[in-house]
Formats: sequence, C-alpha cells, structure tokens
Amino acid sequence: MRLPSESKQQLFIKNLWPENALLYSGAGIFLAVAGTQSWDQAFFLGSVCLGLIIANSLASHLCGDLLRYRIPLWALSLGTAIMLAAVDAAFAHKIARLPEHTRTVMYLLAACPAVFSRARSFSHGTSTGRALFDSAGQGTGILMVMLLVSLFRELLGTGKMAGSQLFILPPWPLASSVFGGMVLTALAIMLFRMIGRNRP
Amino acid sequence: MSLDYSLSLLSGIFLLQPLISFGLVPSSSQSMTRHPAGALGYGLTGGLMILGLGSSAWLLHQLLLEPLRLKFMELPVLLLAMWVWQRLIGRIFSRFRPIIDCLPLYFLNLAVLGSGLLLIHSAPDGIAQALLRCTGMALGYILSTILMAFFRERAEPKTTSRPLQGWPAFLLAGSLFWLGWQAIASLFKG
Repeated sequence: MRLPSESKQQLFIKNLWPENALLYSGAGIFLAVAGTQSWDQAFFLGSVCLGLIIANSLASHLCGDLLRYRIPLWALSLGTAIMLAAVDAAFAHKIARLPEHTRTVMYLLAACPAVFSRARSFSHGTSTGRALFDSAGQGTGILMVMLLVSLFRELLGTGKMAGSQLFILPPWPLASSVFGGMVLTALAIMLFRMIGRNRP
Repeated sequence: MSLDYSLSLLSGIFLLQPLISFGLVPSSSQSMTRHPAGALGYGLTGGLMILGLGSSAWLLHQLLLEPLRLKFMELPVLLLAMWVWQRLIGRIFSRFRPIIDCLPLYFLNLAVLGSGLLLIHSAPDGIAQALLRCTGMALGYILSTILMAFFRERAEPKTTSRPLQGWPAFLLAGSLFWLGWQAIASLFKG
C-alpha cells in the first residue's frame, strides 16, 4: 500500500524492509533459491534485477506522464528481454566465471513479476522522483536479501565468505545445492515474519 | 539405444525439471499448491506448456537460431513462443475448465521459460532424446506440483505457527522433495 502523503525516502525504506518484495510477498523468490550459490552470483543477478526494475519503472513513468499511455506487460517483457541480451553480450566473460546456469537464471528475469510490479502498479501515475525511489527501494531490497542468503550459503556450503576461505572443510556442503537455497530462503522469510510480529 | 531413451526420460523427470531440481519457483506456485484440486489444473497446464514450449524451443534453437547465428535473439523468440503456446492451449482445451482457469498464470511463467532454456543448454544428441527429455520435464513438473499439494494439505494445517505458513512451508516441502528426487536419480545417474 503506497500513500500519496509518503515521501520518496519513506517509499524507499518501505520497499527495503517492512514490505520487502521477496520476503513479504515472495516476488522473485526464485532469485533467492537459484541465484545465490555464491556471493558473486548473487551480486551480479541482484544488480541486474535492480537495474531492470529501475529501467522499467522509469519507462513506465515517462509513458504515463508524457503520452498518458500505460505500457502493456508484453511490451515491458520484450524490452526486458532485449536489455538482458545486451547485458549478456556486455558481461559474457564475467558470466562464464559465475556458477553454472547463471545465464539461464538471468534470462528468467524477463518473466519475473518482481521486475514489472512497480512499473505496472505504481510508476505510471506518479512523479519521477517517487517512481525512482520506489523502484530503487524494491530492487535494493531484493539485492540485500540475495546477498544475505548467498553469504550463509557460501559460508556453510564451501567454507568461504565473500570469496575468502574461512573453514578448511565446509560445515554443511548441502547448503550450496538447491536444497540449501530453499531451506535458507525459508529461514529468511520466517525470521522476517518473526521480527515484523515483534515490531511495535 | 532404448537405454539412452529411458535415461533421457528419467533425467527429465528427476534431474531437469525446473521447480524442484533447479528451484525455478514461480510466484503463483505457492498459492496454487495449497490444495490438490487447484494443483491438478495448475500442474496439467504447466506440463502442457513445458511440453509445447520446450519442444519448440529446442527445434527453433537447432534449426533456426544456431545455424543462422541468431543466438542473441533466443530470449525474445522464446517469449513469443510462450505466448503462442498459451493461446494454442487455450483454443485446444477451451472446454476444459481446470486448464482454462490456470492459463493466465502461464502468460509469463519462469518455470516454463526455464524449461525451454534448460533443454536448449542440456543439448541432448538428437530430436527423439530432446523430446523425451522435454516430456520428462513436463511429467516431473506435474508430479511435483500434485505431490507438493498433497503434502501441504496434510502437513500445513498442523503447523500452528504463522511464520511457517505459506512460502516457508512451500520451500521446506520443496527441499524434502529435492532430497527424494536426488535419491531416485542416484539409482540411474552415472
């Protein structure tokens, strides 16, 4: 729920924590499960997601403001697919060094509701600043959760933390598999709900 | 030869299906697997879409995009193919309500798109194996969705704690299914 009285900063904070898209509604949950095998992968995919959310929101806002036209979902998705093809071409060497299937997970952002939700529901009928802060909050919130999940997955699954070796033997090798992604994402959502319930 | 075909089908069911094996979880899957009745239509629709998009994605990739060096067009072409298959299935099953009701959830669905991409990149030797693998992925998706719904229907009402309900319950059930699928896959893998 977004109120007209809320400032840009309030919108940003709201999307970052109390209404974090991934933890609150499960939008883009596949990113936390399939795209957090390593810190690098989570950072790359989260950044691409953040960029796409902002680009789609600004495009939707400009169309709504200048042309009084709401961009249909298929057009947003096609535009996202083209942007992803450009990202793939520009970062081909970087993607090749990331875990297997990173390219597939990145391509799936073209069908991810989290990438279009702000553009479809909010940005087309508001000011540029509010659209920008709102979408940046949503993207940063997703990136933050992905980095947190990846930190624990990498630490438990490979014994590394953000690239540097902490344990000689990984404490829980299963954490780097999809199993670990599902369990740690579930734990993150449970933690988020418990903290939210205790908030005054 | 028949061993290769069987392995393609089995690896599609247990190793390559998008929902459990790769964690490509669409946002709609949590709410649609609360009850087996809803999950049946959802799973069947998803299975049909995976079968249609997966097979056409492989054919498009092998016969058109790869020979003409148009791999950068892969994603827009697959999105277009997904839209075509959604319309086609809507026409064919226009009298079958469970499928028609769930079809809007597959307009842009990452499990379906993911199946197409995984099939292209797993690159089986020939068309027969690719189609069998795709059929396996569709069967695996249907099976996972329905089994997950039965599991959640039995287990979730008993968990009184609110933080466990919804997504956490879905993901924890999914992780148990992943273990089960891997155990079955270890019987024929390698």
